[in-house]
Amino acid sequence: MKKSILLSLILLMAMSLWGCGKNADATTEATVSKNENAVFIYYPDGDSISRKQDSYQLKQPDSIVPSVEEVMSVSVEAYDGKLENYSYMVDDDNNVTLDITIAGECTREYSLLTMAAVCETLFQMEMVESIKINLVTTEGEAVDSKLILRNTLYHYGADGEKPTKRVTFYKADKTGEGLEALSGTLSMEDNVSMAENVVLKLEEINAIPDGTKVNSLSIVSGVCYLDLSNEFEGTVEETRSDLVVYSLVNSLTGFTHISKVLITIDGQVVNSYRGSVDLSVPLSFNSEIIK
Amino acid sequence: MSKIKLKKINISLKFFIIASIIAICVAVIGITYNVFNKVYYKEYKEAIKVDVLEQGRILQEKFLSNAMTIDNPLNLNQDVDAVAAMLSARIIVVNGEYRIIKDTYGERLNSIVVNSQVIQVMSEKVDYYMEELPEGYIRYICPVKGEEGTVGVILIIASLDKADVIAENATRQTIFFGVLVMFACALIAIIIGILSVRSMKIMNRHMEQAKEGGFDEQIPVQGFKEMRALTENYNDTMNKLAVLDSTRQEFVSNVSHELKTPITSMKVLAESLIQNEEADLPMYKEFMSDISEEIERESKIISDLLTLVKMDKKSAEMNIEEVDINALLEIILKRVIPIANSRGIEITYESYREVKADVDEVKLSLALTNIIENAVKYNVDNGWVNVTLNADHKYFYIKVADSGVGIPDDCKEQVFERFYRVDKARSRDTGGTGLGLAITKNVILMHKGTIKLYSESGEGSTFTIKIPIKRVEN
Repeated sequence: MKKSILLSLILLMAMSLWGCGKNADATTEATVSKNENAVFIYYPDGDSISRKQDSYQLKQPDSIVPSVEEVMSVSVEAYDGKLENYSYMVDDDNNVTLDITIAGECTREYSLLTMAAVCETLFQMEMVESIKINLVTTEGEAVDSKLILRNTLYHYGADGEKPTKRVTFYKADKTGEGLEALSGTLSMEDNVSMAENVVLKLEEINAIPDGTKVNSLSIVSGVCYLDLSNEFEGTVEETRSDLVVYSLVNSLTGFTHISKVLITIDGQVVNSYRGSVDLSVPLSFNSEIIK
Repeated sequence: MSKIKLKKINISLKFFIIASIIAICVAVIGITYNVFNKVYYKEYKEAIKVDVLEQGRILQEKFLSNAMTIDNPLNLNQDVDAVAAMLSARIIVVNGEYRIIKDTYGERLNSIVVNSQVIQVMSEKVDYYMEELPEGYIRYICPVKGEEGTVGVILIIASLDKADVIAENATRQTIFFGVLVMFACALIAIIIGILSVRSMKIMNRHMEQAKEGGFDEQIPVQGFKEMRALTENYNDTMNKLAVLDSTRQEFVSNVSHELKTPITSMKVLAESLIQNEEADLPMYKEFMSDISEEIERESKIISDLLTLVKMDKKSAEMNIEEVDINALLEIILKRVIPIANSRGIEITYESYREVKADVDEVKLSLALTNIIENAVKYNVDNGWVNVTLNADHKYFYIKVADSGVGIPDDCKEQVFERFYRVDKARSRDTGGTGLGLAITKNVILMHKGTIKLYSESGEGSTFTIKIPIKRVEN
């Protein structure tokens, strides 16, 4: 009897906690969601930027100039008087130039956060291509001036969706005679490099043997030192060994900062991968193998 | 509850001991393994942190001496890459304008970092950040500080994967040794299990033999302390059972003999009369008188036996009441004095105080009569008997001393046994059944008292009786 009561109580508590979690998630989603053609207003807040609770509904979403005006006029309120004045100009290519006057002292940190907040707010409008921000003080002294593109600001460690980058993978083609180029997008993680993500992607699309893991990946002076698990020695549907190796090498050397790839297996240098490819030296991009 | 459960569990002790030892070993190994792994993993993480701090410090100095640039005058690219490779880390170097001048991932070069921790370190609000991320990384953010303040920040995000791999290898080794230890434990458990029940098996075999009547067999005392104590107790019990068995046989033999003696006498007397055709009436009367005496003797033996049997029963009822012991002794003495007078024996009675005690008057009277009558019967002519009564707050004491023949030392232990007689011929002559002192002792014990005998052969005997005044039921 006692056991039954105890079990019921535990179940009840577990269900309550599960319920609490669900509600919390729902609340978060409700605050995050915004309507179409609405933007969130960001502003400097201490050592980071914050977002106003309610989103702002653009009145003329198809037109960039009034939209910038609307958003900036609403943003001013969030700066507590620090943003004294602003003026802007939009060219034919939707590049925005913004002159902002900051009241009082403007440290390099406040300058950075102001630029980040403004860009975070304006880049929600897809039509904006770039933003050039000129910060001046009330006395007319120039504080900072930066041209900011969509990927210029790196919100390191921030939650939410990560920016993506288009990359090219190489995989053995259907004939098995050469490599074919495939393209896809990969998200730019804070703690996992794009190069490692490419290797994982190649394993996922069966370009390299199934189960292959990346033991370590480091890039020194343009050479990518890639240490793979021993699963790499397995076969991929009778694919030629050189195609497996170069699907890796060509995909990785697609990054500008990687010129060569040295592959090791479980830390060991491999003189002859599956009896045909010498992996003891760093390999460069091989264009001849691409069909 | 636990007793009921234990009764229902039908497993051998050997199995229980083996299973328990193995279970304890598994638990100990499991806990040790977990603790070891956690400590090992923690220590390795600490070592990584130390490495990160040290490499961070070296990079700080290099970037400071290189005026917070990556290429000139020194080319620090390779140095940063080498450190990143060594630590399995991502290293991001940020200049004073929050622009990334080096990213070992090569993905964010020239981007502007927006991060509160970086801002706090750059603006000197905190000295540095060192934290462990839940995804399995260590993040270290440190400033590059010159004479004019902070000119840049270095971020090192080191992976703990290496620690995981090393911990995994350590786990494999621990499991291997754990399995070896487990086998050793299992072997030891089996040996302990067998040894611990071996003595019990030997004892059980002996008990089986004892069941068939073999009380004489003794188990060798060996093994553990508890088992030795158990074996000694078993051997003692077997010894007592052997004595009891012997006593029972002797008692049966004695009873048979005592009952048969008067019958044999009667048979001889009756056959003499039958075979003597010239027997006249006076002879008949004389013989019949003898036969009557033998019948009376037989009857007394049976009566005493019945009295003893009744007292042996645990359910023997005691009719306890407050009795004046002085008066009781006076009545007994009044009955015995004529017999004593006929042989010139002087009986003296000394009472030191009035004694009233909770006793069964009939049974105690029987016991005291036996003692005092014996003092007269086994006395010399013109001898003396001295009866004294005394008491304290708890007990009363009766002492019966005589000037009789006394009891030899080697017979003192047995005088209270049934049918035991010091001088068999004389006893029969005095009309004794050999049960008197056995009955007396039983009565005293039923009163939770004691009886002691002091005697020298030829110099008389003294019986001292001690009985509680107030009866306390258990």
